[in-house]
Amino acid sequence: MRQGEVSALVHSLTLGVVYVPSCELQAFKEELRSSANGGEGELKNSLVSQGMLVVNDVDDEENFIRLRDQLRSKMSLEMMYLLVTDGCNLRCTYCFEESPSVSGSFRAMHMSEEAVVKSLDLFASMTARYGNPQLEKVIHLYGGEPLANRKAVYRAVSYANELKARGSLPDSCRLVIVTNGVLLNEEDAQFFSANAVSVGLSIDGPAFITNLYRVPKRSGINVAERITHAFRLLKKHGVGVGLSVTLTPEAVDHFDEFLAFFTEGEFRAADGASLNLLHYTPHVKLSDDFYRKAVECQIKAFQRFREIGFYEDRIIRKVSAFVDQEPMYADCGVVGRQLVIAPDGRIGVCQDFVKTRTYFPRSVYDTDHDDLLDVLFENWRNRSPFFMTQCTDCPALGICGGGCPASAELKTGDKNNIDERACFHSKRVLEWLVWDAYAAAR
Amino acid sequence: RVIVLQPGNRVKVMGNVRC
Repeated sequence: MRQGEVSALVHSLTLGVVYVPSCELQAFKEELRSSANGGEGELKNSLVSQGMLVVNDVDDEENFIRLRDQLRSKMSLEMMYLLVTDGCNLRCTYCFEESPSVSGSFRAMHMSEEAVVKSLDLFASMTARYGNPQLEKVIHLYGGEPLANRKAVYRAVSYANELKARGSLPDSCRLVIVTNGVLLNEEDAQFFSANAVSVGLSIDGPAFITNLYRVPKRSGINVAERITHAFRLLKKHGVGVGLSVTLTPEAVDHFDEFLAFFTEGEFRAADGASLNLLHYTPHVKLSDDFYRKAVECQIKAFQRFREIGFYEDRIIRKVSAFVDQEPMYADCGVVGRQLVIAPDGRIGVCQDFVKTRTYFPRSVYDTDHDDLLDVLFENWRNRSPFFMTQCTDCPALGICGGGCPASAELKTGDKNNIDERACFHSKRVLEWLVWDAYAAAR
Repeated sequence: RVIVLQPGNRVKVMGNVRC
């Protein structure tokens, strides 16, 4: 990539970067064409040291396959999504669950306390066998809206404590509840505080944006007010709160107001946020340049967030891969990192398919789980841009992760296709990172 | 001149930072 008179060369696997005056690079390329080894000099030495200049393509291909297989082999079981209900008190405009392919004649169901216990037992035994002891274990209490089945939430937390006391789950195992906040009360906040449960709270910015998309099924509820009330209760009791935020067209169009909401108002007291790029849904019409604008907003938000030390997960994933020079194999846990348990105890790999139970081949009520991971992940372990032929020459391969397979399936009919948002997102963020780092390096 | 990006300069993109 080039900016003015300077070119940047990026190794997509090691994320090494070499900056060189464009005229010198051009001269070097010509020299390389005319003589086999390209002569000697600082540029050649730098390119060799960064693995950008190799003796032959065969070595390069072998290195790629070795790294890919090494990254894949590191995908160990560390997370569980416990879907305590697939019903919800909101009908968010952009919700995947409201897409035509997954709604239809759907009836919500709640997870029983028996299924909660069996799920946690399964997670404890499977992570003991197949997890990496060095990595944190996380149980996500999820839905639907999990607080619509409060009994199961409380049972899951208390039983996780029992498993920790027995040594079946590590003490460091973290519990997170992902909620829209509307049903949250003071007793919940006290309970989460007492049991070190952190909360993912959904809010899309100022009230006029949040209430536009986060629509209650029962009229007369001001969702933004309820979320704010929930946030205050959680902060009052010292509960860790991360904000799940969707970047909507309105957020992009009113970006300064949207950003100030998180950097200057009371929500700045959150522990972090995720600014999610709105995924494909037939219910929201997006302009052709929406993703381009949304990624620019995400970058601008990060520039402000890093000044005030506010953690934004979506971009940090890519920034961390770049900073640590550790390529990211997959964004999504479907490559072997997660179990998803439906309310009836069916075991799957992706919560976005819970209503249809697609990809939920087993149950917590099965008596034998010996081959569970092979059955679950057989067709998912390779769902990485490292296995997508159209991605192998992409400069952003090392920071990409391939986006969301469910979104790719909804849009294209095949989970192994590219999630087009990730493609644009990764390339643009890489370009920004390379030149932002250059400002510090020169 | 040729510059190889070093870890000390990479980490500066983090600024003050450490459903």
